[in-house]
Amino acid sequence: MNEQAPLARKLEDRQEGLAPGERRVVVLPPEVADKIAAGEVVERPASVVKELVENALDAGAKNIRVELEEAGLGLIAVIDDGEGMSREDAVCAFQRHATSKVRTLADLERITTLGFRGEALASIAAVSTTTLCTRRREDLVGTRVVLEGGKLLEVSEIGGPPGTRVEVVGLFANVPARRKFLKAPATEMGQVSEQLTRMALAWPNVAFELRHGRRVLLHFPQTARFEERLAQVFGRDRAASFLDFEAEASVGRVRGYLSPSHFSLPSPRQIFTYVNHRYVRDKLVTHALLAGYSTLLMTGRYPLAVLFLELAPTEIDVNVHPAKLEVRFRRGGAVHELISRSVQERLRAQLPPLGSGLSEGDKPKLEFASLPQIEPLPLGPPESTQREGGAVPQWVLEVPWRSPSQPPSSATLAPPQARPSFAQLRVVGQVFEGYLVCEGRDQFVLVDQHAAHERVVFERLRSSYARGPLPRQQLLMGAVVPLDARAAARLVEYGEEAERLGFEVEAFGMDAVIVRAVPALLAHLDPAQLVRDLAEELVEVERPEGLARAAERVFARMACHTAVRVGQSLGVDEIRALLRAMDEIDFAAHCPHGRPAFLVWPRTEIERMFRRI
Amino acid sequence: MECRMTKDDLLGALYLAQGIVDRRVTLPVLAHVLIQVGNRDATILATDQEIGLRRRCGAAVTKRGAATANARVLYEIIRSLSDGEIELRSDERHHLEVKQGKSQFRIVGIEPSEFPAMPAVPDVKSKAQLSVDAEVLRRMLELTLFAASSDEARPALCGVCFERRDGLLHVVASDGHRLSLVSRALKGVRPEPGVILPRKAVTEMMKVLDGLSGEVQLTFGSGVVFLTAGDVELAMRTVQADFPSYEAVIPRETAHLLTIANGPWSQALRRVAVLAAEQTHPVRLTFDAGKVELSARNPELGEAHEEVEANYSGETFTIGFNARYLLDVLSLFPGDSTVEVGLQDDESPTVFRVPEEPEFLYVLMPMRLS
Repeated sequence: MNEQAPLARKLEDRQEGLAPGERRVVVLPPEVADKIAAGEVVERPASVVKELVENALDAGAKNIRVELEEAGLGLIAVIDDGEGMSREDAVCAFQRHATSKVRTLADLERITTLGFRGEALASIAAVSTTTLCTRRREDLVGTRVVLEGGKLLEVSEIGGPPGTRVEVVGLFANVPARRKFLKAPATEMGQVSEQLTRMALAWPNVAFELRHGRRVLLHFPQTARFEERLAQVFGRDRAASFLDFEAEASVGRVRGYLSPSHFSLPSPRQIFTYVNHRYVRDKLVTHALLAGYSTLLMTGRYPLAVLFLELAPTEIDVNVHPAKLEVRFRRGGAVHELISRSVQERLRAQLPPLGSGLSEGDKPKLEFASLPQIEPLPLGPPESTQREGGAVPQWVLEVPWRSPSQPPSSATLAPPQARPSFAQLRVVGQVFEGYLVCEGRDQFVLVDQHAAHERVVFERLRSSYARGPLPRQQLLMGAVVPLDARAAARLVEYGEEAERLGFEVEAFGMDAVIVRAVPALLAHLDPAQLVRDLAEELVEVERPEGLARAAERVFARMACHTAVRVGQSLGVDEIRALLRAMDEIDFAAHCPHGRPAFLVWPRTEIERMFRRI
Repeated sequence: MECRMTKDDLLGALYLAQGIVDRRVTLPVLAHVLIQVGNRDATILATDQEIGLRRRCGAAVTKRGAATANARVLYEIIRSLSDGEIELRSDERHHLEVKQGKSQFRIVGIEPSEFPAMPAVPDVKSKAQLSVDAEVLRRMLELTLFAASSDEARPALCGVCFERRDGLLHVVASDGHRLSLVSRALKGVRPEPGVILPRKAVTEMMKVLDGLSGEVQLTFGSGVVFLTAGDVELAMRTVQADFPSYEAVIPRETAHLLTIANGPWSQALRRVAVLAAEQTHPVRLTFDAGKVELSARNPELGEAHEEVEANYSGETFTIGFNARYLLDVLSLFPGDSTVEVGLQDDESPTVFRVPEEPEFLYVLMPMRLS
């Protein structure tokens, strides 16, 4: 990224360019104006850290150390080994809208650096005592600049390592109002470490360290491999379970790492999304990601995901939010489609190879090893070889994104299109009249019969619907189904849509309908119950456009009613039929409500539990 | 108790008991059979509280009494013994001793009084009794049971209904999409309102009737139907529901009539259905002068076409059916039989008859294919 960063210093004051917006009725004293402006960018210690680290990254740093005292209120120091600044630049950098990154309005349309507004240093200096020490590699002496409450106190020569060190002391000391709104130190520190983690994820070739007083809170050594950074951040086992993908469309490229669908979290906080290496918290991106998971996660559960979007700078406007957390996409629909489709496709292929598909060489594939209560295997990708701090961050270009969690030589891994075979599992039996115990090659597989069957029925309905209106089996005797008036009216109103879903329904008075046909796939069920289900879902639909979504819910509900229950003992033939059917469908991993349909323990896991290995 | 019985007698009773005993562990005694030894014979009982079996066998009695044993265990033991006599004896600790030659088993039993009481056949002279040839009854059940639903949410359709209509006994079953009906004039008095027997009861009845010849009796009690067939008595609890009134769905007349040889048609259907969508087996039938065209298409598998000769002169039209629903009924008749199909249009009930068994009628609703 930094190869695209302009090498020039922060020189240009862009105030003239924005003059019309700056016209004032009453001219505020500069200290007041600066403090107001500072508030937008500098909310809390974490925002200071963010701005300073972004500057360091833009300066091509390979090692960034962040030191805090008193949760950042005492001291925030950001030390980098980037290119440093000349004496003139160092002074200019503190002027508002001083930036080396944007020069003309046209540049704003194609921003490739993290910072660009030229506000950060000025804003920080306005609310603290800030000391900047910097030296370019080629200069013999460095520069030290000290500001207090936005006023320049000192410019002097200083020795020191190449790079830049910014020390922010007494943050918000002169803004008591802001200081009052800060949260407990632990919370503020949490924010800082979250902030730094977000950046660290996007920059694996940069080493990050965070210290609070004498404690090292984060330490991410430099690495050439993105997977290694994931392992540093999330732990080796979790990282090994990630599903990686990469996709491209006319609007841009997306790469990502997804937690498998059996894993979920109660909040979306572990969703890391980036647009051109800038961390964003964008509704559209998050929505697209979750849409890709669709029914694989229960409502209110979220995946762990790291997503990188790479779009041409002209496709986005990052200048929407002062903290640059939001972006505006020129073609939002295309971006949404790119993400949701590629996520969905990757998840489809997530099933671990079962039975014959698996052999010894597959061990690093630990999707299911990290089950709750069970310590994951201490396996992971091999230690990365640290790269020398070269100028070009080649990980972007070189890392084999397609199969990071698989050793390149692993020819034994089933390709995603090869379906795992449930039918080939050996059925050991049924427990608690609800769970099927099976044995695959070196795997112990537990199937939730209801969830699995539900998913089978759901997928059959869905795939049939995708091919056209569902075939309808007519009823010998039209069944009268009493409904409330609203539901009955809705059913009749949406008669055509109901027909596409496989139903023929006629009005029967104000508060009942006659059902004449039901989906052939569900012909063995009580038509009245099916129609009640349909009506309940249709009542929820506000506009006919929403019907496609309603269809999915109708299918999910019907599948649930159809499926064999927990508490129903199954014969061997029924178990076999269910396992065979699981092979046929697309997503065998979860029931439509998002619960897992089966769990797999590798043999090694079992052996480890018994302390055999 | 102590007696001697032949392997055949014992095994026959235990075989029937296998289908009835309750394998769930809720009430352990229901997994057992009760052996009651009287003065000159023995009775073997099994029940799941919905169906009760009572089978009388000849026995050389040494000592009267009763014993129970796990039905499956006892069956497996008796089955593997040699032909001939087997000695049974119980002790005060409710063990059942089984002896033949040098083979000796002691099976843990349960206090016989814990075995649930079974309803007894009401007065034989009761009006609600009919006599029917065992083979005829078995065939009536066979021709109807397949059309019953297996959706327990609709108990009325989950069995076979017996009722009197127009002086005939109707045995009828339907799953809501098809209906199978056999009506025969029979001796005796028939039940007036419909009496529904659940699938399992009908299945067990067919097992009892299998291979039997001669008259058997059906007795209709309140909430219970009894089958008395030779030494076997089956008490079956009826379904507490009303069978839907179905006569309106049987078309009195149909516009077109097709006559077709069962064998070639069934075989063609079976072949074509291979490429029909797996769960719903939709096949398209086009009736044309002198033939029926069958076709099926599955976007993932391919398509199939076949023509079968038939006697047809009505208008040409296409109709969709679930091939399973067709094959279910066609497979009940020999390949050299003729099937008559009464057709109206592609959305009306279609009627199937087989002249060799004029008492039978099958009504099938078409499937609307896109």
